[in-house]
Amino acid sequence: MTLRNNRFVSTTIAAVLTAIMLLAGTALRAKAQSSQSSTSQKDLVDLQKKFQDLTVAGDSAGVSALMSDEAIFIHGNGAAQSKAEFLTAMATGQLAFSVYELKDPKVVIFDGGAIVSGLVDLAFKPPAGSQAAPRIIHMRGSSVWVQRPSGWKLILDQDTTIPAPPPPPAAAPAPAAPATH
Amino acid sequence: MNLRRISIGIAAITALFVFVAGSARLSRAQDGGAMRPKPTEAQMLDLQKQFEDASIAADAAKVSALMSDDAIFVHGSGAVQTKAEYIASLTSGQLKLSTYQMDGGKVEFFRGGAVVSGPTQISLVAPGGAPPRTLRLLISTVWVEKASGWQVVLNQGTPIAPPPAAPAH
Repeated sequence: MTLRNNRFVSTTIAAVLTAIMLLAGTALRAKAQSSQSSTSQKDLVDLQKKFQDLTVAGDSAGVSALMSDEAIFIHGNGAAQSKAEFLTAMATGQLAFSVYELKDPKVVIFDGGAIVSGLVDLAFKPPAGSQAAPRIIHMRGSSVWVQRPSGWKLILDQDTTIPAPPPPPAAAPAPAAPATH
Repeated sequence: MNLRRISIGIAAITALFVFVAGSARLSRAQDGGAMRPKPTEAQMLDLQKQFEDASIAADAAKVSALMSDDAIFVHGSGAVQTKAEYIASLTSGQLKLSTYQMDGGKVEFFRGGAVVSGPTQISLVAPGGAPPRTLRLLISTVWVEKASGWQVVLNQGTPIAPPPAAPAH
């Protein structure tokens, strides 16, 4: 009888433990699944701004933590850099921004990732001793973020320079909208 | 006593089945609703070519099928279009392409998608029989796998600056 009682207690404990593990596992998986859907557009814009602020600050470690190892950075002149090249350019001062701002962002969220696209104002730091005001470059920038177990990571950042508008001609008719590309 | 043990056993086995079935369903949902194999780089480049060819042909149905409804299309001029605007510009003839070809494209996969990027030659047909304007862009296209198939969510082109002229001796 005692043996049977012990077996009953063991079985009950095993069943309760199994149930607890199942509930905990299910809750963890549900939490992991919902963490992406709970990431709001504002969170992603904030993430993009954080990346830009870290770049301006020259914080290589902070920037590195936000970039995927296979990330591609395409500058407004069409030059492409890997993550390592981008970080090296920051560390050597070859790439030093004084302004890197995002305006009018649009966020597209897809399963596993998101795109943050908007107008980007960028300026390089002037050489030491220079009194010249930094020249602001206006671009259309898009960043692709994907969700990894370690957090959101940048896998692509691409900028396209927006040409400065030509000076308005005197009393000229409005030009036809050009085909783009 | 035996009845209680059997009941507990059945409950435990049922819970296990429910968990396994739920996990399998969750995995399928995370994989885009179907157990589709990951495409190869060659298949992604072929998909990219299909998009380019459909754009040249101004094939609205094909382009539409290959673009997500919320896709962003950024031209080399920095102009941005929605899917509807891009297709409208193709079908109206405002954007007429005679060449749209990526060479040496690279593919980077991420869970549920891929980035296809590479130098791309684009020729715009000019009105009035003028020679086409040819551009060389670095284009990145972000593809994601949806229930209806692979679709573009971002296409962005950046003009590649020409190399500096050789210095005069």
